Amino acid sequence: MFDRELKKGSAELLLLSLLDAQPRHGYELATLIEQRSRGALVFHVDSLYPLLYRLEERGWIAGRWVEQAGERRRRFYRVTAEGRRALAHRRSAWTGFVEAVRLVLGDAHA
Amino acid sequence: MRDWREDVRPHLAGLRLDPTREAEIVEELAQHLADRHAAHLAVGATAEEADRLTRGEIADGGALSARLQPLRQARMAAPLPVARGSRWAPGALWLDLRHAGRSLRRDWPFTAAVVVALALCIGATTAVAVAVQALLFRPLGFDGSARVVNVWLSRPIRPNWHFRVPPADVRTIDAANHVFDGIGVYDTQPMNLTGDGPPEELATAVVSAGALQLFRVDAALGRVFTVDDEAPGHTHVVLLSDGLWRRRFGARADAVGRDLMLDGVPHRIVGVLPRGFAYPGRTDAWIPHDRGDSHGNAFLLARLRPGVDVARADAEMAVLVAAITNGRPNPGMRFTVEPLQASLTRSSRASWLLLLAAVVCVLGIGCVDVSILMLARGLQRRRDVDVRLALGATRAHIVRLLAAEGLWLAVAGGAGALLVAWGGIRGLRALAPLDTPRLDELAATPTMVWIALATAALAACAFGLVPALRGSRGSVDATLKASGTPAAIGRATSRLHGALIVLQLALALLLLIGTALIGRSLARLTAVDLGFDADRLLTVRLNATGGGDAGAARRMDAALRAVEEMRRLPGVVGSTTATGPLLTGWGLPDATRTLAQRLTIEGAAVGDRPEEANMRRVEASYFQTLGIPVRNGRGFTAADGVQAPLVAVVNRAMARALWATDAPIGRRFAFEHDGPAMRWLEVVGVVEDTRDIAPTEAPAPTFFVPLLQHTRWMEGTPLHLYVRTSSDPVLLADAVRSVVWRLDPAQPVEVSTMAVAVDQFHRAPRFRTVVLGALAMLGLLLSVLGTHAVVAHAVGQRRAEIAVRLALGAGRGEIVRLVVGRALWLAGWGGVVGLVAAVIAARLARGLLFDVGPMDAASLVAAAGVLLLVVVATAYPIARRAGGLDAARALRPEAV
Repeated sequence: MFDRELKKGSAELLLLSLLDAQPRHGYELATLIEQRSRGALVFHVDSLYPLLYRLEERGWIAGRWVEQAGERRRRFYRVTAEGRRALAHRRSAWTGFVEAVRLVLGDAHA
Repeated sequence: MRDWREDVRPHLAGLRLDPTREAEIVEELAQHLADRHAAHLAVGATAEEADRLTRGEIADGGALSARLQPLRQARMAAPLPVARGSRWAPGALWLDLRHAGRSLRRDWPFTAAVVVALALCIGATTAVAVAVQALLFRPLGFDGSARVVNVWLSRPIRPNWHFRVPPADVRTIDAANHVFDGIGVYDTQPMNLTGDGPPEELATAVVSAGALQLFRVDAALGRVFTVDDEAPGHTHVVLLSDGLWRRRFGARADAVGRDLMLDGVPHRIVGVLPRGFAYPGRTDAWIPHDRGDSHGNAFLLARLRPGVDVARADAEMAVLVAAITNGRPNPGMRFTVEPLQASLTRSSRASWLLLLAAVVCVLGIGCVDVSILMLARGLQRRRDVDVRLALGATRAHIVRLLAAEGLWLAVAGGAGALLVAWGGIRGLRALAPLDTPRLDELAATPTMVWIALATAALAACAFGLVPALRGSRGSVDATLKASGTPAAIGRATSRLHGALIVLQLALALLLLIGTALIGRSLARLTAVDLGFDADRLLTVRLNATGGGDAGAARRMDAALRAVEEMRRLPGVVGSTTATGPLLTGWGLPDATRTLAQRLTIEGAAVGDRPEEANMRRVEASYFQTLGIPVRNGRGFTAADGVQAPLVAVVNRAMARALWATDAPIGRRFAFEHDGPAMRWLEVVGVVEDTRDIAPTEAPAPTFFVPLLQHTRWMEGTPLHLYVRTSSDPVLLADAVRSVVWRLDPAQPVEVSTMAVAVDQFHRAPRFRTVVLGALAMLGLLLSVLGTHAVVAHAVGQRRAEIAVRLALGAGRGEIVRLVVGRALWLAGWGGVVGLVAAVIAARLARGLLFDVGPMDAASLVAAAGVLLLVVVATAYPIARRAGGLDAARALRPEAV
């Protein structure tokens, strides 16, 4: 099981990278994360949306209401240019971190 | 499908969301819940189960609200009321004020910091400014105070000393000048008031009738002096000050015509001068100048003719000197014209101007604080302002709102400043040395209220409106779109912050260095070696003079007998008498009587530069009683009497200056005022140098002669008794007084201790040190506020960088070093600027330093050390907090 802090820390990275592929709405993001993590990561409304709004305030993602025929309108989020830069930055930091941890653990086993 | 909006709405209740935005959030979250509900149903949950699970998406207990709280959109002010057509109506203004007040309350740490900074720096500035205005610059309390001038006489013997002007010269100046409306003479002398009530010493001015006319002053009761009062042999008369009249006579009109016992002589009271009139010095009573007194040299006062300025009067006096010195050997004598106001305040001016300069530094530091805080808030407010503009608020609205905030800050800061100023003025009055000229005129005034409020309003408007106008000018679109660029604005702010903090720390260092220099001066001053032992020493000044040579001889005889009798008092270790006071500064008239005597040195080539030395006539046990070590030869003994060979003891300064040796025993010299026939004195001993006039005055060449061998010119010379005691000398004051009075009942005595005499020289430096120290502490405190704001802001800006560093394995120490290092870098620049400024400023304030150079290394290092320590202590906790995140948390840069 993931440490709670670790999960929180990586949440922004998760959201940004999911949105990087294509614009999505909040429900879709929550479902995707839950499915892809096989239920290990669950985002409830009360944690997902504050995170999205914060990323939006920071200018890394932008939300927009989209109406589709026969459906109620939904708010879709996409990554901005700034967000993409932040994502790249985060990704490399994360990779570096994971690599570092792996090295340490690997050394310990060796 | 069920509508979940009503389930979402209560969770947003505590937030300050814009209504439109709130509706959007409600819609978006409700939609999510509906989708989730449907999904639960789709996998076979019962309706109740689905409901329960869906509601679980938003935990009870306000988690959602708490997480949204930090977002800007959740802290939106309520939409601006639109007051079309009545933009400046009182109602709309009131709304703005309420609105601004709410916004300031919400951001209370900011508000508190600004108000405290404004109150402290403006309050301190107001207090010192009011004091400086009252003590140095407010016109004196009589008509045309700027026109009344002192005409000082100086001679090359002592260029900085003001000599009394002989009556003949006064007459010449009166007759020949074209610049004065009138002249008068005065002198000051303490007189003992006895009779009804406790005896007290009055500050008495001896004035000519002309002098009182210069002030255009008329008696509030009775009359002022006439020329008749100055005639020799006329009845003794006196004029009272308003204060003395109230104190001694309860402001009764029948005081006029009564007698006042001054120095044991009845003086008829002829009038009372108006309240607030106390010139030419601080004066309790005035007695007329006796024109018949051949030694009646006195200081010269004059009133400038309309249209004549000080420079022109100075030039005229330079011409008149020729007429005055015509035929008399007075080369180099010089008259200088100085406005009375400047003369009165000269002694304290440098001190007060120093404090004024210091308080301006504090004001600067406070202003920097307010700028830093306003800038940081402006950064937060920028988007807020732009959103408002986008929502349809006009520029005027925004400016009005920010001006309203400025107004609140100004009112709160101004009110605080008034309190601080009021307390500051009381503090200054209580701390200031009692002999500070015009101290009794210092009080809180209505002007002070205006100064404080106006300064606060100016500061708050300047710091509130400028960012507001800058903010409201920005393109709405650009800011909204570039919502990711606060980083850029932040960087610009950081640079500005850096410059401001450098300025602030420089000012703080300037204050610290000033305090260190002044404090070290005080320490040096209190540690100065006087050359004699000032502990447990009672001083008795025998005030009586006059009575011709017979009177002088009688008094000297009485004094010598008193010295003998005092030695027999229990608790007395030794006693002696001498002419010339010790440690009375240049204030007492007889201090000058020990002044430079021209000497003739046996064996010196004629035409050599005439040598000068001070002279003191002393009783045989003088050196022993005062604890002045005899370095060579011997001191005086009872054998050095009238019939014995003439002898002298010289101090080391004189021995070195005249004979370039420490032991000129057997050498001979004569002094000018000894009489028409030259009498050689033989040097029999050399004593240690003493600081006779003041602790700050370097020992001057001085010689001592036995009192009995030199009785010439004794008539106008008061004698001083010195009594060494084995315990607290004050306990023996009464016994000593009664010994004097038993031998000479008419002798007014002034009993004090040497400790008091020494202390009077410490009072002004101590006052300067205490007030300057307090201002430096205040400056330091305000700098801590500014430094904290800047470091915290910088850490906020660099949080992303710090996060990555932490993620990449940087230790806590590294982050602490990074943050503290940056603060120290700024402090270093501030230190350099402050040092340069301090070196320049210390040169200007050199006159206030004693035995400490303006570049005193210890002071500079200590001040810089304190500043660095304070900066580190301020930055370190912030740095630790920044470095205290664990790696995972740090990946969310703004999550702290």
